[in-house]
Amino acid sequence: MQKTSSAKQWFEDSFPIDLNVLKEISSEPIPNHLKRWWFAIGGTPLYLFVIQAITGIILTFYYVPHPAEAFESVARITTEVRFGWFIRSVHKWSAHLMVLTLILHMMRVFFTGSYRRPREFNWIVGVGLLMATLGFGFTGYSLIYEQVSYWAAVVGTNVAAATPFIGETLASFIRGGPEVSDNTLTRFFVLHIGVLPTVVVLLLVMHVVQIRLHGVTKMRFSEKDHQPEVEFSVRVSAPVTPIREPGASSGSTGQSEEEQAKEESFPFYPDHLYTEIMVGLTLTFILTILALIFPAVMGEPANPLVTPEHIKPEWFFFATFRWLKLTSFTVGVVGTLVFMGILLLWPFIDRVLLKKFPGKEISFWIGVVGFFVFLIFTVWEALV
Amino acid sequence: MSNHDDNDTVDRRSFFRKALMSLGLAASYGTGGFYALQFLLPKKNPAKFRKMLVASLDELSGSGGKVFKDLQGREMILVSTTDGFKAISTTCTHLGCKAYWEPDNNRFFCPCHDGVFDVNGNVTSGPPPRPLDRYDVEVDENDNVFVKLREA
Repeated sequence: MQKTSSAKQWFEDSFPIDLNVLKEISSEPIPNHLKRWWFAIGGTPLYLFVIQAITGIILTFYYVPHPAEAFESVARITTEVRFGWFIRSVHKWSAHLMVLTLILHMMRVFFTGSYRRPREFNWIVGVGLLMATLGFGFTGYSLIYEQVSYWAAVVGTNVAAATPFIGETLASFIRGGPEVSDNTLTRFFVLHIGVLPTVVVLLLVMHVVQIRLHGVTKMRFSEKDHQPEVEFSVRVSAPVTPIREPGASSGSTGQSEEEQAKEESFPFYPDHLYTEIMVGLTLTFILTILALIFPAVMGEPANPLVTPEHIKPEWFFFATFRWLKLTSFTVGVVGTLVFMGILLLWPFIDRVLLKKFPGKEISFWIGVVGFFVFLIFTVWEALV
Repeated sequence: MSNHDDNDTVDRRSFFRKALMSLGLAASYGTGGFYALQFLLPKKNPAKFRKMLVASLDELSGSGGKVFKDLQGREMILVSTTDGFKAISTTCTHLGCKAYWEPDNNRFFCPCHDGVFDVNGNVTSGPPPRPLDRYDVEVDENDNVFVKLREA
């Protein structure tokens, strides 16, 4: 007994945490609509990122970042290392799911207008996270050093080289020379395991702190309307309000009528955390099944002298790939960069649109068209 | 302004102190950042060219052309164009993939983004912005064909 209390005392001395503050921090009020899991999809890329970090660190124990040995080392991981095939497959599928869930999360944020004032900054951070994730995907599959790895690196860095003004310098930085060479793999490796993880962690902290500061976007629809179509139309046109009204952090008593009309909320801990844990467990299950049924395999080793007759990037670059085929060089590359710029600055473009066309949800329709163009290009590229 | 001389002096002093501090920080970390950037950007070596013997005129007289490798080991094709002999690089001018010769269609085809070039290397369809790179060819008195190529 004495021992326990002294251990407890030691802990309390070492970590002088005010339990009330901890409770306050962990009781972030979550709007009721987040009880539906599809509104809670923003947590999934984070969960998958953790899986990527763990499996990635494990894979690095065996991977050799040199053009002469990279392919062989991945083959060794896949065929010789105990459970290597499984770790590599989970890493691969987790990457695919991460991009997929990011797109879903971004669509949810877009179509609920959650990027609007005062959350513009967090949208920008989010787009930064998306681009970092795509950077992970791009550098990641180049590390395997199979044919698609090599030629994707050639095409990708040439797209970067066509960026106005800074293109050549940027491409030379990524490649480590005037063209894709031995240095390029080293640089991709450093970007993949050092630079991008650091960037993503920093952006994630900003993202979460912003959510915590502004509160989760509250939907201004009545809890009585349970039909999805009603929710959707209201959600689309409703202006968003932050859930955290000044001084309304916890108590449910003494609410004004106006406050009661707004959406009810529940504390982050434990309810929402349980939702996230369940989502995480489901993801682990899905990843295991995918890794078992569709394990990662080896392609042809990279050959800088021959571009294969049929070559395609990963699915999340299909739309860009198709776009580059359809348009001239300048339109293709500049169009891609302009699209990224629009995505990044969308909250401000949206505000201009709202001012010019008050009451008309132009942004919603731009989003719908944009999404379908992305979908059509992706499917088109997948089918040919 | 002149009525508040005391305040003004203090303000000016603190302003200069802050300005100097900021300038010093910017100069030192700026220099560090500049060197770090130089460290990360690869050195640019001036391109060196070398003449390489690739064929003799006899070899070229009958056939359509000759395939050879440049100093980086990449495929090039020596062909007779309307401007005389030219060495054509098969690196696609769109985004750097390897185009290959399709004898049946009498064209170069790049599989990455469907770029198509004719026998002279001119773009006939697809996104490439310019013809395939062509290198000058020299023929000496002994009918040896040389191409000036970039060193590896």
